[in-house]
Amino acid sequence: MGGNMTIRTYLLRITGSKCKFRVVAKQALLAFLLPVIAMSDIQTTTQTMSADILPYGKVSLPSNVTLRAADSRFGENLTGSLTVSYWARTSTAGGGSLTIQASSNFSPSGGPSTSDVTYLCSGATLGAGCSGSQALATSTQTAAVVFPAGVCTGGGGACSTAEPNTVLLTLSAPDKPHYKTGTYSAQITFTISTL
Amino acid sequence: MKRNLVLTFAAATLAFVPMAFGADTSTLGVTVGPEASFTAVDATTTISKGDTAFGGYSGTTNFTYKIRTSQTTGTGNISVQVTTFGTGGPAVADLAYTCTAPSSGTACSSSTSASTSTTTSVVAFGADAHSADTGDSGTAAWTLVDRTAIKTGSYSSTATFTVSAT
Repeated sequence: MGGNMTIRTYLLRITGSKCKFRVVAKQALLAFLLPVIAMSDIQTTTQTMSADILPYGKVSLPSNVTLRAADSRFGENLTGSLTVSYWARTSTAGGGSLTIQASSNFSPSGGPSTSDVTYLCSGATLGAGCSGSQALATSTQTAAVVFPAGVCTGGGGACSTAEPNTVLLTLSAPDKPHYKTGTYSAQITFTISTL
Repeated sequence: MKRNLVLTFAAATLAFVPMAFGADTSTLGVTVGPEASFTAVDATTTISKGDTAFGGYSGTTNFTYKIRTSQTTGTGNISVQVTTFGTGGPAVADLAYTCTAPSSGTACSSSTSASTSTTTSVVAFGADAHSADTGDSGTAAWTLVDRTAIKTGSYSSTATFTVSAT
């Protein structure tokens, strides 16, 4: 009887050890697992992206334009045409313009004066071209195209489909007998401004 | 003082509005060459006589012209060539003219016989000749000998004026 008790007791002790071992094992496993779970944690961060789209303006011209007579009988004015290419973007409350100014009178002297030159604007693909005959000036910029608010070049949709935008200027000067024969030149500057 | 500083700062802040500028230049050229134009004031020049004693006929063609000749080597001319008056009428050999022109040109210096076969000068221009911008005026004053052999009737000749400039 004492031996049976001993065996039973021994078995009970062994069983208790098994239970304790399982608990310990679970605890150990949990202890090992906790760091692993911590290393694979996913962190997300959000950031606000913003871009300041500012007004923009660019203009491009042919290198020269020449006014000539269509005949040799004083029948027509001296004429020539110039296609101006431009890119523009105006703000929703802004606007802009494309202007022209002669830097000086024609050189050499003896020919026409820049104040004799007039121009017409046609076919502006963005903004409104100048209306009627305009006089070229050396002292001030004169309008070629006016841009309203919220316009932009290229891409379609809210912007123009054309890129670049263009406007045709037809320049003219009277063909006066008192001009001496020869070639005369002056610099003209186109300035685009957008707001 | 502090208030003025605040107002100045606010005004300066409002002035800093984003704007964009761009520019490009081009050379504007003008080519001026020699040119000339002629206009007869009247479509018809009537040559009439002042008497009935074979005293001769006369009449004047009035014209205006514009001229620009080249600066150093240019020349120009207004010339005329006529057609015959027709069978039984006056002979072109009996037709002549004298000329007047402003200082922009040199009018024919004396009485010049008209021709059906060649042009004859009315006004000659040298280098760097310029009329007024509105044009200059000239005349060709015609004289026609009244021959007894001319049959009565109305006769006409066409005078073609040509202007040129180099």
